Amino acid sequence: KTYSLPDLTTDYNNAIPVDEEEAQDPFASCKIYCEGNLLHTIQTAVPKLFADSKTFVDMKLNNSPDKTLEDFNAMMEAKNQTPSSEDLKQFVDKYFSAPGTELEKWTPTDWKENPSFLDLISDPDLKQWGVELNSIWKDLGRKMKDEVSKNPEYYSIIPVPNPVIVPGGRFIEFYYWDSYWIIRGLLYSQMFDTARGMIENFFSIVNRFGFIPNGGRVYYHGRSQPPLLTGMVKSYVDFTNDDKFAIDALDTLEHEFEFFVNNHNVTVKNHSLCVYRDSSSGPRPESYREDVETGEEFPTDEAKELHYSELKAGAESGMDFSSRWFISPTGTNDGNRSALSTTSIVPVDLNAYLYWNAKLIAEFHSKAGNTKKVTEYETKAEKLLLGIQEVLWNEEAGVWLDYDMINQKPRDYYTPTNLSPLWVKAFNISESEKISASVMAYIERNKLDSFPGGVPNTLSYTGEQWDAPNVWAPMQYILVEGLNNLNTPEAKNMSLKWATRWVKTNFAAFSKDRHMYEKYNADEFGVGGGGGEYEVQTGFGWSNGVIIEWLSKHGRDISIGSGCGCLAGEKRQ
Amino acid sequence: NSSRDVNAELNRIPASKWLQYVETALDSVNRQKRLEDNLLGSDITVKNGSLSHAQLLDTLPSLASKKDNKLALKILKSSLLVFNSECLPNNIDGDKCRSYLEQKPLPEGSSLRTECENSLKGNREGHYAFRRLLGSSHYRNGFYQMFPNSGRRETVPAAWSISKELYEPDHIQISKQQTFESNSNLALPQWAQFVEHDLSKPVSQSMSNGAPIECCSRDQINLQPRHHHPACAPILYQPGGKYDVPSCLNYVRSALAVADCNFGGAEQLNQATGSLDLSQLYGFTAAAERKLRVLEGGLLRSTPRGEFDNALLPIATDTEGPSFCARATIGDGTCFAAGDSRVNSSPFSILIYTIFMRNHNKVAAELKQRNPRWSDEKLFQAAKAVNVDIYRRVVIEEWLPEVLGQKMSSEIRRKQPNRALEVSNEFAVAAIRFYFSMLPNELLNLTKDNVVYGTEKNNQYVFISKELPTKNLFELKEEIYKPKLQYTSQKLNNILESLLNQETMKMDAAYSGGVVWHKDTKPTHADILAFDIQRGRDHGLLPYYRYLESCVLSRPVESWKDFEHFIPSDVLDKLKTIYASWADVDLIVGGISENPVHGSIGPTFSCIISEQFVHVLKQNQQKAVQKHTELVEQYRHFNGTKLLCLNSGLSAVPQNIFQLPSARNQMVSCEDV
Repeated sequence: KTYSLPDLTTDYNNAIPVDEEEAQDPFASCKIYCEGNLLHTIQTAVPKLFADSKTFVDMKLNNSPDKTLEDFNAMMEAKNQTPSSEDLKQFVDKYFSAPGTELEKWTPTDWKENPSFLDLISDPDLKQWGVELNSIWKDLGRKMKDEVSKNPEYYSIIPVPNPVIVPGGRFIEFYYWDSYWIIRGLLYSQMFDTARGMIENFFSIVNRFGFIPNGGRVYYHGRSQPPLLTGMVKSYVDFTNDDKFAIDALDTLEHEFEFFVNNHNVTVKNHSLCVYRDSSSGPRPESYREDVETGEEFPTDEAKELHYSELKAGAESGMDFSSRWFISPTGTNDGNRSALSTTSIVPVDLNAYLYWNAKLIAEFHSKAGNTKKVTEYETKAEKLLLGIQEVLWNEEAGVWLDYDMINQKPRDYYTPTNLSPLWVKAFNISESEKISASVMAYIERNKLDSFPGGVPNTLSYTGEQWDAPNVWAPMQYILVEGLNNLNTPEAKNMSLKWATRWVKTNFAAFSKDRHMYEKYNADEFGVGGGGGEYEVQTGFGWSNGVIIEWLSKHGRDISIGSGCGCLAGEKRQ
Repeated sequence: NSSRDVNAELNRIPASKWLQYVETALDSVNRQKRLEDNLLGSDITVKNGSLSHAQLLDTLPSLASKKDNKLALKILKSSLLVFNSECLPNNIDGDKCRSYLEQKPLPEGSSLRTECENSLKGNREGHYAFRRLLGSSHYRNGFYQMFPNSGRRETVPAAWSISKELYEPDHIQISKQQTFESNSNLALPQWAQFVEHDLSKPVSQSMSNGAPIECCSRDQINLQPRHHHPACAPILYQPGGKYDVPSCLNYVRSALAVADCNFGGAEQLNQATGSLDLSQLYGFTAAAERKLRVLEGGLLRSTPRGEFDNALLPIATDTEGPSFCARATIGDGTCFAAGDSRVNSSPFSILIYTIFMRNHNKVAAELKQRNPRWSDEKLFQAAKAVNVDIYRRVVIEEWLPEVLGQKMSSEIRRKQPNRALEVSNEFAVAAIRFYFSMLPNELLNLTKDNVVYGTEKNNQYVFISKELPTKNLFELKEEIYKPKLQYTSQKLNNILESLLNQETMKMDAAYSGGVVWHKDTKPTHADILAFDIQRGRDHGLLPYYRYLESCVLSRPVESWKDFEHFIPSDVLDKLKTIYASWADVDLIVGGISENPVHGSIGPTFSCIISEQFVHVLKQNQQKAVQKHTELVEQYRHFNGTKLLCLNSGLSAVPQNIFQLPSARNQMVSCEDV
């Protein structure tokens, strides 16, 4: 299976000019980094060569892909297909350079020392924290070296024209859905040019590839992430009033929307909705060894391949991995990653976001005066909304639930995405009171308010990083902003309570460790999370973005307490 | 904030809220079973024969300990929820919060309180909490969290890195040993280990279904974070450079004790009893003791080899085997059973357990001969009382003076506390572990075939000269929980004779290569110093300087300079390189770095051990068995020399069994005892 791609001959305003003579295969380096015997041999070496499987696929080639493969095959033949660990190290040392060298540190030219959001913070310790969060943007700025666009086949990085803010830690390149919260943080920090540049990079990618891969590496080519590009444009326009930016982007935004609805669609209860999917083959290159290990449980190559597809579809969801995607033989969420069935689950969030995309595209067309397009996209939105209401809304649970197509039943397990339609307003405003009551009852029933470190992502302690006890900034954001959108007193109170708790637990962790974390622990106040395939990362883009936004919105209402002095230097004996 | 403010803040929490915190914590404990199911389903479990199996045997929990730990973890989890929900958000730090909670009873009407009260009413055989000498634990959050090895704040150097930094190649250690003047032989550390087995047994946590916990992959590299059990604190070594896969040694956090039915922080469980009672030989409970008896003639189980002085310990059954030896397959070599799972930790250990087993059976046989109508039970308990008394006297009157020096060991006998206290955490996981520093990797073959004695006219034997040993009897690293030697009575005699003739390594910060792992390759045996450092941190021991202040200085430590009087300058220079601050030096590291003063060890460990033995003597008094007083008196003449002569095939034993034979420590013919 392959995705249908849009016609690439059209010249888009924001695309990199493509000269016929200079046109290159955008995935030329995929023969090294995405699949094949070289990748397999290095990534499954015994003993293990790299602590993190991602290290190898982020290394730069010293020779062309073809020469590298040719020399690798020669080496393998000389070693009778059984190279030693030392042989492999020598090969890697000779043919690959250190990872991350294609990107260099970049200080945003529009960085401001005193962005206006700081004036909205009352508590002096929180204000100081805001200053430090603002400063972290400078640490996370990255610019691609010119060499990359000249010789992209030597790199796994996807070249883009503008500098980016990366998430942090092992994530040394840009990521798709992370960028939504990074961009909002940048906008609150008044770094409009940087935010715009990142969005334009995504336009460039859509225009070249037809969709936005998970992250800025070729090995992510088979999958995307939750579609938030249109939401990024909306955020930018809200801050800058630059309607022209949105209008000029409409063709690109439509392409991305159509990519999802045409390639991810399923029919359930006579409604066309979408699921997370992947189009590539083999294990994930950046987690190759881990996937091969779980793949060993499957008896045939065909069964292994199906498992790899489920792993990558899970990664497309952004929630990789979670019991949310496990379907046991009895139709529950029991099991482990062997039970991954992402492609058979109709997810609330994806469909809510697509609804939102359609509404926003209609809105932008309205500003452009394209009445026919407005009707077209409003109609698409209405169809999605109807599907969301009839397939995903669950009267008994009082919230939206994912739908299990194998067992043809709703999945009644808590996850913040069960409330994601609130965030994107994929519900009838006239039913706000009723929905608010049932949502509050749902929160009470699941005791979601009883965790000191935030609202956990699920209630299943499986060891997976998107399961309990982990908490993630984007999910807190969806919950809190969603409750706020309900606009009832009890929902707004809970929203502010959870926003305050999240701000305080992040502040406690920062005071103690001087890090912002990728994920946090709901069972503890001020502690980073764990589980999954890699150690908790620091930096961290989306955590910073959410906090900056909430310091802006709630900074007047939140107090850390008298004389905390938490950010003062630590004294030793 | 002042304690009054803390109390005011926390006293405002209504009773219903306390109850809710407990219930929420119990929910969380139950939910975590799913992670354990996933780990077992992914085959993340201790494999027989692995390094983790050897480690497990060193810390093997009993069923009673597992039960206590489960309950203690629920109490800790409840306490942590209060800490995270009420203390931290209100800027109450961990130590103050813990102090408050330690006085706060579990709420009335909660199932946890009922369970706790029932537990405390039940039989208590061992598994008390270790005591804290300075009254406070040392955790990052005040309750349980270990300090990190990486990050920007409050970090401590990784345990294994410290061990590697302190390591000196064996040939350097041997050459330094030439200049070390010592009279002590290997019986001294051998008995230290035996005493440790008697008084102290920290055990590891288990999964809720009782299964052991594994924190490393089969290849001794670290697991994916998804496979980390909450009780894991693996000992990792991160090599520098491009090929950066960390090596991993299993460390499972120690089981916790239920000290009372209040909230509170972590207090580790001691599975052993706090008195010198040979529980390592007889078992820690009555049920365990029964399994070790023949139930006839008052005898302990053994493997007969003729007379009592030739018998070996009983061979572990196929069922018992994995609880005593780290072997992939049962029946693959010799594996002995005894009251403690640590019996097979080394040939030194096997030997001394054997000696006391033989002594028990010899005494029992003598008593039976003299009292033909005594029942098995009476014979057994009488022989046990005699055996224990002999053991106590050798430890107190002969071994302890060698460790602490004559003066300090005498003072111990004069101190009389009102009440005997339990074993201190500091004694158990730091001070008594000094003996590993004194163990060489090789036991030389120093039997009389390789040693020349002269005879003086008064028929006293005197050590005159020594030829080069023809070969080693064993290498320690090959034997730990994997006995390879072909154990025979003669083999044990050779080991005994050789260890009496071999000098100890100096007690210092350099351990032999057989008990630590100093290379950057995949480990094939454990690193005992790294383990002890990690365990000290797991147990929340305060840093070394706190004990130096309390025991020796009587004034605050203010810089590295304050250590100069106690630690040799070359070692101190190393410590300065290893640690960012003198305030971070671990107790075990500081203690083994000190110069010995009057005995074999430095002042800080001497202080901790002597303090413990004050309470051990009190325990001995309080638990004295009155009905065997007369009988015990009849064996008053037994000393270490006699014990070894009568329970081995040696023809001569030095007068002081803990010192090398010399003109001042003459050999006593076993025919004369």
